[in-house]
Amino acid sequence: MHIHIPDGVLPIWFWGSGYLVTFVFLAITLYKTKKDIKKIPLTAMMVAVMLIVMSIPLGIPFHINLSVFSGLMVGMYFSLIASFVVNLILASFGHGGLTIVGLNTIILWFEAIIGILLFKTLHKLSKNYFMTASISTFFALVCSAFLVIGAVAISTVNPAEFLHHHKEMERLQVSLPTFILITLPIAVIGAALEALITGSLVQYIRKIKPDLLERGK
Amino acid sequence: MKEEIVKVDCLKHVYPDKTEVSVCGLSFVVHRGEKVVLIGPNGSGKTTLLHHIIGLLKATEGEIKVFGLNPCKNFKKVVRRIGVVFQNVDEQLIGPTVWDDIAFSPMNYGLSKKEVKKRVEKIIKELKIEYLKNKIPRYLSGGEKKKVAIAGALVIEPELLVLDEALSELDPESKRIMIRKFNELNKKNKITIVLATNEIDMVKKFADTVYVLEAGEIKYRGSPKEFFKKKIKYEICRH
Amino acid sequence: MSSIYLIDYYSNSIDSIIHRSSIISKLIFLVLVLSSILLTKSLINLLFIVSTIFILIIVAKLPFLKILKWSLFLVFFASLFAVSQIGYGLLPIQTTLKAMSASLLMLLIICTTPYPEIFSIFNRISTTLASIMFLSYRFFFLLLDEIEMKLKAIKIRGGYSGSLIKRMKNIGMLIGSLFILSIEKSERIYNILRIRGFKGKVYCFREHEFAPRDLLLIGIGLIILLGMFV
Repeated sequence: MHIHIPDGVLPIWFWGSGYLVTFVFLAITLYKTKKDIKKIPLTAMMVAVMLIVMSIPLGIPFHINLSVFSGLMVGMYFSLIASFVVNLILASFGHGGLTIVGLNTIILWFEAIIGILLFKTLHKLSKNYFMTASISTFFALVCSAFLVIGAVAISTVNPAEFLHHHKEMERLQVSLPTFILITLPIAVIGAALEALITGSLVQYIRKIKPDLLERGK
Repeated sequence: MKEEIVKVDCLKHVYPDKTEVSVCGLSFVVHRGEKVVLIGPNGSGKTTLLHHIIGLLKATEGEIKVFGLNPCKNFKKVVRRIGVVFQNVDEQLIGPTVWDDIAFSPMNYGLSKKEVKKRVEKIIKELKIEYLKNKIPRYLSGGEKKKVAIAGALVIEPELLVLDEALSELDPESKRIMIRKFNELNKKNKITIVLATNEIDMVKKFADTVYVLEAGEIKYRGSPKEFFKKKIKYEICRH
Repeated sequence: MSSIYLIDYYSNSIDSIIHRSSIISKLIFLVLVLSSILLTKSLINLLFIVSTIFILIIVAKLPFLKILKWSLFLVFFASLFAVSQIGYGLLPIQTTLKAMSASLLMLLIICTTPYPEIFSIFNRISTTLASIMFLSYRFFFLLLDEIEMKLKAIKIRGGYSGSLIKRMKNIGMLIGSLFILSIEKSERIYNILRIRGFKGKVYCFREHEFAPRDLLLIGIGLIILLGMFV
């Protein structure tokens, strides 16, 4: 999941902190992965796959990300790099503001982390790869939907900030539940769909390239 | 007696999906300065054999020596001396531009920028691809991509050149230039060349020694003259 | 997807003074203009920025209407925000203009700069990051070429005309084949990288020499930024 917020809508402190968090973690990640060149081509391939699946029309206002799946493939560190590169490329092609890259990177990475952690935990309980990957993906995406809702809720304060108008805060009380009401069902359907796809892919990987899943860990 | 550069004895490889590919029959031996054409239909095991020579695959059974070493165990040492051109050339071009791609290996091997520049300029001149040097690989035709990949393999000045269907997409004129170039390199620099193909005329134009591989078995080893005399080609071409 | 093909084509095949400007000058221009867009609260300033970018798009010999159309993707999202701002004077128009000018600015830069130039900048920050960028861009087109063919085949064979479940099934098949393709490719490419001596850096020889023409973009950027204080 990511947000299509154009430049100039969010307050600087908000998108700025998105960048700050992204850069801090990215710096740590790049330092830690400096010598791990084995995962570079696979991560790049996951970026390419994510970019392509994001542009496949599904017939509903949702697109697949494969963030959890690529997280399972490349692991926690490389999935941050992948999230950053995906969002940077999307922004440069006009599919999101440049200012939103930091926030979107965090959202995608958040999905991947939750997915990876859940998958690892569930995997201890059950060896059914399809089930564990699907459940992990579903919960990761639903969690990230709440993160997006939270981000949008904070960002809606924007007009009031601009004009020092307190009426806006009152309006926010009304618009946020409406926003949740519209977003959440789509997010849940999308999460279920992506969960099924991720589950099938992971199960398939387990058959043809079991070492890939090990590498992701 | 000439030095043995490659020696392969009855290989067997099991892929992760449990598919077994074996290359058995006669031993596969390549001497220094030799031009070997490995001919066989699709799926006969040519690529598997080449991948073992380069050190990409680890043999489950059998023995393989390249420059007297096991290429899988001594990958870095061995591969530094080998130039490779694969069948799917699109995947082989990594550099952002043609120039960058040809410079890819020498830069990674730590050669000085000056030396890399000298080598790249030399090879693009020799292969007559100066006009491509600033282009982005994606925009090249199949034949042009192949030439760039060949340049990228030759630029490291290899002792052994492994070519997997390397000339297949070239037009007749480019093919002629490349064959002339390979022959020249072979004569002047004593480069050993192994070319895998399913084109019979490459045997006539290029080979010192011919190996025929069919369904994982090396069925024939000999000179091109003998090869044509025995009319072995007819068996291959029917596939 | 076709927009990415075209953007890549425009940046590599068109020749203009903007295309020839160095990446450094373009980045300075981007920072100057984007800061102005984000910081300004004046409608006139925004109109000035948008018109300047329009002129630069024409100077860059880019297809004006096409670029405008692409920028509307974000303008659409901006208008959703703008609607909630109705009643706050000119704020909705400002929000829309800000989004539009930022989007046009990005498109101007991306359509006039070949990707090796952009990504090579990242080589100075992290070779791992730059390598992933270079390779993902390359892989993207490798996969896209094959997937476009498959997508066309699905469409031609009526794959998009059935019920939602059927459509989903076909999309699933497409994603499945994309995935198999990508795993196979990444394995093969990893082997190729090993053979070619890859040590974690995709080298890119780009001269970042400063030419007088670079002053054009920096100058315009500075004028736009200074315009905020007028």
